[in-house]
Amino acid sequence: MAEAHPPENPVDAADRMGEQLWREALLAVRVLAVAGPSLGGVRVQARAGPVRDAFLQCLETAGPATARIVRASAMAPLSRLTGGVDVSQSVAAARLVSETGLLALADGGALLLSMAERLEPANAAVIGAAMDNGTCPDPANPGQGVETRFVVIALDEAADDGEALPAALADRLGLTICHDRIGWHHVAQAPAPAPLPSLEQCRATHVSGRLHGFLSAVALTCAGGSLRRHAHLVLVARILAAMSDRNEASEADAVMAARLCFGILPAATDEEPAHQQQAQDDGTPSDPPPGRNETNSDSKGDRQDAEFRHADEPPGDRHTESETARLMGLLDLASAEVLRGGRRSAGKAGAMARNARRGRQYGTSHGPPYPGARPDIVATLNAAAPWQIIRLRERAAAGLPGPASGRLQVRKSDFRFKRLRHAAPSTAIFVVDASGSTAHERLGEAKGAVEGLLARCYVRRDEVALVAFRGTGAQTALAPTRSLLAAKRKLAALAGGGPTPLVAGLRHGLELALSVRRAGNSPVVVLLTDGSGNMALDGTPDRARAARELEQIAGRFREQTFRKLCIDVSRRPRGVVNDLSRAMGADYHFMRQAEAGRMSELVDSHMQEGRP
Amino acid sequence: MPSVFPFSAIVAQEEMKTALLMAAVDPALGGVLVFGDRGTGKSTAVRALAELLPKIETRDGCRFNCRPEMPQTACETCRCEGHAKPPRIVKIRAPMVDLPLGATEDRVCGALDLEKALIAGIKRFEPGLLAAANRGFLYIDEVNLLEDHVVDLLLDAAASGVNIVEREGLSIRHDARFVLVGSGNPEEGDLRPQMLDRFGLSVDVKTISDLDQRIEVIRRRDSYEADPEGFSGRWSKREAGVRNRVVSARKLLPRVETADAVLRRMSELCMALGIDGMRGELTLMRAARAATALEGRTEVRWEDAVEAAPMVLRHRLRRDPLDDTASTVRIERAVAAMNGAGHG
Repeated sequence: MAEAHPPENPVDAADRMGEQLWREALLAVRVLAVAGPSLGGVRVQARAGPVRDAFLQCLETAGPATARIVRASAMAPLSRLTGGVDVSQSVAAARLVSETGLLALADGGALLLSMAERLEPANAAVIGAAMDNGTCPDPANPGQGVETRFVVIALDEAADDGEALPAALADRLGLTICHDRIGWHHVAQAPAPAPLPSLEQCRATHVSGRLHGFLSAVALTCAGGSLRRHAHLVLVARILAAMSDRNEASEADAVMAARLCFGILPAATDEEPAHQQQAQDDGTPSDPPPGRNETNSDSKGDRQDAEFRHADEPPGDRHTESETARLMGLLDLASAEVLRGGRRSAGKAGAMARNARRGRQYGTSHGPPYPGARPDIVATLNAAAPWQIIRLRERAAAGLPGPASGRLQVRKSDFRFKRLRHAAPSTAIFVVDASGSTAHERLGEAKGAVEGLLARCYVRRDEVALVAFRGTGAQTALAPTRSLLAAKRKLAALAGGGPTPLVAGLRHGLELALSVRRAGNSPVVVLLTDGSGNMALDGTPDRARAARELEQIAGRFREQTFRKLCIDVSRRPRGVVNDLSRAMGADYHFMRQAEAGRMSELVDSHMQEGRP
Repeated sequence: MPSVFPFSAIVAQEEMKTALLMAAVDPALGGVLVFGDRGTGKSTAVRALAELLPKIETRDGCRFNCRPEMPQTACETCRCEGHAKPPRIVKIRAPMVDLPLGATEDRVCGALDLEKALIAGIKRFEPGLLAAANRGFLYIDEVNLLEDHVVDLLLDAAASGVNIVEREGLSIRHDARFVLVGSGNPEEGDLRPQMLDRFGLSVDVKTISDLDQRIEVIRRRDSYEADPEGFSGRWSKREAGVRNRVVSARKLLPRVETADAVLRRMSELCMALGIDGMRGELTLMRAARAATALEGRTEVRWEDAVEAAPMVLRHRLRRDPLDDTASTVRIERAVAAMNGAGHG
């Protein structure tokens, strides 16, 4: 944003931006106070710090929906959320002691999840189900639920692509607030206490078909078309309208709703900053383009008759594409959090190796997950505890002497084993053009890069594979391996020359990538080519057909969530490889000669990022 | 309990609704797998279906959902242990049990009753989620993220209709007849093909892209949230219509017949698509019967099988990473080829 105003001092611009963002954060607080649980909650993207604390304090004072905050650690076990029998307490007290879960405790208030990016998908699903149903499981009375309605405040400190709020929760949180650009001095302004409209008033606000079209487009762009997010957008737009005492949502309301829901910054378009700047220069409370007027909400007015009017909308009230495009232009969509990381990391929830021999514990099992697994002592004792009285009696009944006093009786069936998992290793799959069109020395460079990578992978326990294509087909020159020696031997034997069956190579690479992923690793496909494929899949030199097939296979790559990297090894960069990489959804790089070192660095960084 | 969003008020997603109704008509179909985008009403539909179905009879306090006329040996309540008269018969909503992702084996299958064991030192069985789901639905959101060993347990119980618990001093066997419904987002992890195969029907749901339909969804959701009871009231007539369809289809199902010629064509279709094993064929036959019963007829036509084929066979096709045609299209093509051959 700062760069967008050349005449203005960038520092001032950034300062103004921060001020504006803080005001918007306060607006979001008020929106949440009005909506309560029907908006799900808010995702706060911020590190721990005074700004975040101030924000949370504002939440606490904003309204009854967020007045009482129940804190939960994202790492808390599931039983803390749902509650359950407290075995140690029960044994000590010789009566059943059950602990109430945090979900039930949060009823009527807010559930604060700290470090939400580390939340287990399982826990996220449980929280999501409780939000949907308004009930959570009751440990004292299984089969029946306890009613609980709460707002979720997720403190998201995700640092990179690998970490993200579980999608099950992210989809249910209506608002997204990012504190990145807000400075401590901006926070000094306290929110002006103003009466808030009731949710009924907001629901009675009209949203035109045109704005629906725009909000639908926002939901499609930022959340894959999720209807839940669409509904959030509409509700926020309504609340904003009702706050400024209008009975129909304006364009500005819709744009602001999009920004609050997805944490989108305003776009720095040519005409728009001028408008904004003007407002700011006037010294008026510089509302962003969406003009809102929070203070005058004293009239009740004729809101009653503003019922739903979608059914009998005049035909002129339909949305048009250009209208939507114009409104979309007011948003800096690239700043939307969802676009930044959400989709990419979505593919990685499964990329954790389960039943691993090392890593973090995620559960216990009755049988050893692998031979020789170590038992989980605490879980085993917990499992044995309830049986003690029964076993004592059984021993007595069988006429056996009782055990030495204070000694626990642990049987085979009590044993519980730790189930561990760790981040799955990455596998770099090089798909190398070994045809005659790629100069011989380039193939040599590719070999060098692979070897360079292997040395690094060995340390990190990552793997490397190589698919070479030349002549009429492709072959796996090197199956996924960590072995330096085997790799060097195979690479040395790799010959070049012949036509370029690019499609066959890509197909082989994709197959390998999918099988790598099935095995629980995260594949990273690295394509090295000059882009001049001239062989069709069936081995005939049919360029037109090869081009068609290439388009298809590129589309298949695009659908996959793993990382793709396209390295142009032609002597001079041409558009073909760039086009291909775009079609594949891959990152494009042009590789100058004799840069094997840089290539392995590049791939290495991609593998690191690809880690869950 | 707040009233649930009505089944008939769900906009579009016809295939998902049909599949759920078919599973409700014939629990032997093997459940439904709903895979697709977030926020497409997967869980809403399943919860709504349980609400819509006719109530079941059981005894007051029974934790196994026993039929009053057939008390199970595992159920102390219905066997009226200790007291002469069994508890009264009550009508309850068809059970709809949510299986949380983190559920342990104990929680799923049932285990020692902690309270009784800790305090009185009595060995008693505490029924788990499988018992609670008996004669109803067991719903797993994010089934693709569930632990493999728990999925195994569930699929075993769903296929056999019985849950057997053998632990130290506990030997329990009780009915676990339920319709398994799993949902998930394939982007977050695949289900192993062996597991996929065991789900009877599979549906892909996509987010609605038609703007008018989207607006309609939000409008209905809004008026539901503003006044759940009133909204349900307005839809009660249509709900009753759907309920009657299911009830009469259930009655009709045993009388539905499939001609040999149609059966033969079903096998041919499965062969043409290269589907391994008998499960596909068997499920296709059952699905076609359920669809026929839902239509109120007693004779399965080839068209019924064609309509059910995508749901039954979609997830059983061998995955070819290179064929970019959607599995539905492949099935349609095979059907078209067969129709051509059949008439020629």
